[in-house]
Amino acid sequence: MSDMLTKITEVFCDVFDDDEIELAVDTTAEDLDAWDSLMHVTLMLNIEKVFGVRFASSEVAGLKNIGELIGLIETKTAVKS
Amino acid sequence: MFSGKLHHIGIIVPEEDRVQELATIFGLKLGRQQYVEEYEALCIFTQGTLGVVEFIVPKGPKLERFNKGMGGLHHIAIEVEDLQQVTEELKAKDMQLLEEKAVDAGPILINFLHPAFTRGITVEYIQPKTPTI
Repeated sequence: MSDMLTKITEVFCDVFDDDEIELAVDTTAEDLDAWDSLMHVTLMLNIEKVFGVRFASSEVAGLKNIGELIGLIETKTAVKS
Repeated sequence: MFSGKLHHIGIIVPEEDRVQELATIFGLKLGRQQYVEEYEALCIFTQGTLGVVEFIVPKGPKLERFNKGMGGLHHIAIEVEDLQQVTEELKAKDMQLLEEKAVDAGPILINFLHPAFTRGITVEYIQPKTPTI
C-alpha cells in the first residue's frame, strides 16, 4: 500500500473509530456505511490537517473515490513544494 | 441573490421519550409531527418564544449514527420563497445541494446545501407549500 493510501486509511480509521477499514483507489462513499455528506466533510477537514493542504469546497464535494482524493492531495502538495 | 429567514434549528434526539423533556427545558410546546421517509426520521416541530426547534428522532441508520449516536445540533433551516430558484442560484455558483429534487416533507419542500460549502455546517432550505405553515 502506498504511503499516501496508508496515511489516508489512518485518517478514516480515526474518524470512523474503526481499525478494520481498508481502502483502495476505487473505494467510494457507497463502500462504507457511515460515509455520508457530513462525514465526508469531517474526513476532508482531517485530511487537510494531516497533509497540510486546503481544499476548495467544490473540490471536496466533487470527489468520487479515494483515487481522486489521492490525486488531489498530490496536486496540492506539489503546488506547495 | 435569494433572501431568506431563519426558520428553525434542527436537533437530533436519539430517544423519542426525551423530546418532551427537552421541549420543557426550552419552554416549548410540541406541535406538528411528520415522518420523513427519505431520512427515516420522525420530525417534531415546536412552538414557543424561543423560536422554532425541530426535534428529529431517527428511526433508521441514516441519522442514527449522527454524532456517534448521541444526537445534538444538526442543522439550521432557512425559509425561502422559491426553492427551485434557490437551487438554480446555488448551482450557478457551483454549489451543490444534497438531493437531485426537493424532498416533499408534508407542508414543506426541503433540500440541503452540501456541507462541503460551509465546511461542516448543515443548512436546510425550506419552502412552505402554502404561504403559511
